[in-house]
Amino acid sequence: MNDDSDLAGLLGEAPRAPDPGFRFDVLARTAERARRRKARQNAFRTVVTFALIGLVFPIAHALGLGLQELQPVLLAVGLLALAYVLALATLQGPRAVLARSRAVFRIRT
Amino acid sequence: MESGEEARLIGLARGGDFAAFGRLVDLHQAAVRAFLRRVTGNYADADDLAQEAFARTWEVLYRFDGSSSLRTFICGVAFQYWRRSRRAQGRRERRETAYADLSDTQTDETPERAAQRLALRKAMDQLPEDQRAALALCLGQEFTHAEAAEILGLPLGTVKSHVTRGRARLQEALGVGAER
Repeated sequence: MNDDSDLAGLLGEAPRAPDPGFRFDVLARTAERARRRKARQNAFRTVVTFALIGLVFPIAHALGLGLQELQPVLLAVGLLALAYVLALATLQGPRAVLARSRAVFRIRT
Repeated sequence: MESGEEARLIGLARGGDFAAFGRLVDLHQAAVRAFLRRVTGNYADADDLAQEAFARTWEVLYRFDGSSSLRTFICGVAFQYWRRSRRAQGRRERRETAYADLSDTQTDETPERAAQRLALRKAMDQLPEDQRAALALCLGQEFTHAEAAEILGLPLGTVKSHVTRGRARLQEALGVGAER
């Protein structure tokens, strides 16, 4: 027993042919990890967005700006946010009217 | 497979093509699984680690610059996973695991060969991590010393000496005089 390949065989055999079951498990695991990563990113984005919205008022207050002065800015931001949500719903919502445009413009979500 | 075809598959996989990545898994699963089987001594654990390594490879494929082979790159990821899993699990009951492996995976082998395998497994488990990994990569002639050095992040001379000394230890465990 001094042949390297025999030693290697005793330690563990290499699969003789590609195993489709193994490939399936790898792809399932890869998809699951991607799904979890995306969920983490979404959660992080949500937390950051709402934290920033929450910070606007104390910062404005610290700068001496009241609700009266902030009103035009808040209105503009609110309209922009609404436009963004509507655009997203149009591109990828339940009735994605412009679903194809996502592929055309290569917008990744 | 030609390197051009592999490069094409890598490009497609980087772009998010799952089918292309599946082809790459098929191409390299034998080498990665064999390496992990030899280094862990447990087929189920090895395949589990191999799947994790491939899944991680999908995430870090953009880091692959083509300076080495993709097989070397994936085995490097697998080696890191194996080291991390060993640290997490701590010391295990190696002997029992080896017996379990014998009954699980090699039911048709002779008792003499099973005993050899057990002795070899015990000897392998006593080797330092780097030496075990170097042996697992180079013994079956699947990887060159240079490739093993790249996977393990060790100097070439260290890998060569790991393989020579490790081989001698394994042969000693089998009661065979070490080759010089």
